[in-house]
Amino acid sequence: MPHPSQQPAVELRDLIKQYVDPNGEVVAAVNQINLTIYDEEFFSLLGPSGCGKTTTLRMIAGLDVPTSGTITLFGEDVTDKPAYRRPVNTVFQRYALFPHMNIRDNVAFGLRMRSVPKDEIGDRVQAVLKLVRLEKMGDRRPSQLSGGQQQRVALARALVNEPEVLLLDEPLGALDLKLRQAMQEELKRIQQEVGICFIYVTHDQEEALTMSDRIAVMNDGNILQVDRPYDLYEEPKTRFVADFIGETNFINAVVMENEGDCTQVRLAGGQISHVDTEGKHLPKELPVTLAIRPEKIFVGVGERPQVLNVFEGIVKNIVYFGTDTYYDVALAGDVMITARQQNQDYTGTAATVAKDEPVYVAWRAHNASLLTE
Amino acid sequence: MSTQATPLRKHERWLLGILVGPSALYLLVLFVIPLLIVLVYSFLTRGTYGQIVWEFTLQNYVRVFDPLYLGILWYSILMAGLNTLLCLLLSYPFAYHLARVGNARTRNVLLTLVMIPFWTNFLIRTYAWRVILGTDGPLNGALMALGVIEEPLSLLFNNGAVIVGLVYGYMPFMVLPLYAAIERIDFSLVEAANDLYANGRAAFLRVVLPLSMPGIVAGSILVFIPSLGTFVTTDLLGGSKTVMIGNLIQSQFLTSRDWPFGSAFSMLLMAAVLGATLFYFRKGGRTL
Repeated sequence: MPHPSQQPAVELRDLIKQYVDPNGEVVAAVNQINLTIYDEEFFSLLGPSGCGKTTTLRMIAGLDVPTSGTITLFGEDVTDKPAYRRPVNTVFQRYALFPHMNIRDNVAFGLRMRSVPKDEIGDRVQAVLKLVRLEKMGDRRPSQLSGGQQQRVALARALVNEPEVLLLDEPLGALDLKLRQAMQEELKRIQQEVGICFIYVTHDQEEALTMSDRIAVMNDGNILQVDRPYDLYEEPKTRFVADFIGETNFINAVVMENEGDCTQVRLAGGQISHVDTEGKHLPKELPVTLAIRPEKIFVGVGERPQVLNVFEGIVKNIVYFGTDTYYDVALAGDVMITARQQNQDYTGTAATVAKDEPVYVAWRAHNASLLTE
Repeated sequence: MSTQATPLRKHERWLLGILVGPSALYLLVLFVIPLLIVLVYSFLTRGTYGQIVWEFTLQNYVRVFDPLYLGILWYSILMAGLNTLLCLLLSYPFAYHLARVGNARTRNVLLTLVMIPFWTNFLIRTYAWRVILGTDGPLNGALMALGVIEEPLSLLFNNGAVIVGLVYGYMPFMVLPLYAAIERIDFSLVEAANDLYANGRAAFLRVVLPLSMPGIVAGSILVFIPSLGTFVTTDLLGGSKTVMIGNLIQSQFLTSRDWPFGSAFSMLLMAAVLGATLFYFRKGGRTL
């Protein structure tokens, strides 16, 4: 496993968090999850709102108490330790900077609480403000800073304590797109510079994909898949993961034959599609979902490419996106497929084919996958 | 940060006049002019029969600085200060709880309980304390029945009774601004403090308390100023030796009929209040 380190930083075992909702019913926010996160790793918890990712983070921070299960930090069971005794620090979603203190005092807060000598506090605060490029802002109040600057203060306030693990709860959620992209790079740079484990909660799949070493996708309090970004994207194990991360065509199919590395499935219009399942054979007549990403599908007219999956269809809709164009193509049996093509060559039109034109769609067997759940 | 004041358009000035005019007129007639009369009177002379003689003098102010009267002023400041402190200590936990109660219904009930005393006249409520604290009142009765005391305690007509009456009367003025200030605090800041190694006590002292300062300052001013000039509570619950500056001014106007001297005293009280308020704002203002 190509983790930055083999040393487990955070281990969650059978972690459960239940709430009693206003109607008196017990609701599981986190549903018995198991997870090992390694030192020096940039790890993301990704999922829609209400999936339990923030609750998981808060339990690691000690701000929420688990209903059952254990939390271990570098081998030490911290499940019953209060937040102020845990060697972790948090960057909160809306920063939670102390409005009555200037930036320097905000950043120095944790060090003062642990009675670090005064000279050392001054030096460390200055160093960390330099790390986040705010060394000249020390005397300002949080309200005098922009959103991006406040975000960096929140980061500095956590990092100055040299935590063993840094927890980040959607820290870039309140920033606009350009700033968010700049901060993503900045965060990654800082994580590599300080070399500690970052646990990053986000609902933004792009953010998770670009920054993380590994990602856990959560839904309804469960962890669905833990993988490296490209494994997650290219080989989603469930329909939810395939749908949540990026775009996917889901096509109902039935297993026909297993042949070598490939499985043949039949689509609604009788088409036979070949899917590379790496030799994992599925029972015949099993209903499955064929998943294929739009950008893996080629749309064209004229000479057919030499691939296993080529189907006839009619272009029903064209949507131009600047860098790409989307083509909705109807195959026989009302099988709808969306293909995404990069606009590499501008020929004076938004698309390389016209609406209502007969075309073929094509993809390679190893780019599709079969989902059974 | 700063909003640039743009010159008002004609119809806006007209509207402003309509909106502000009535209250400005009210304040001018019923506040500014009487205050000026008091100021002028404080430099005039008392006639033999208590009438105002238009003769300029500084004698009233000289008399005000008599050690006897300054002692009363000092005593009044101490009593008002003690009242403010006790109100703050008793109100803070309640206001904190009130602000943190999740259930809106419970909160409204508690808020109503704070305000119920206002439904009854202050004088009558203060009289009620005479009954409660009286020699054969319910408090003494209960203590004797429980065998805590043999003889009734003399709870009335001393400083203690005055403080009880003051705290009782002014506590709501402390609770409400405190509640408003605490309710505004973002309690995720407390979580942030916990996350940064502050235990409950440290988080309270370094985050919640400083952020409650606007409420503490407002409540203290609302309690301190009226209790400094109070005379009803001291009249009804205090002994013959418990004279606060409010009683003194009252007696100058009503008993001694020395309006110029009473006016000079009123000016002194105002100066004291102004001084105390400025001092307080400067102290508390830093954290606002």
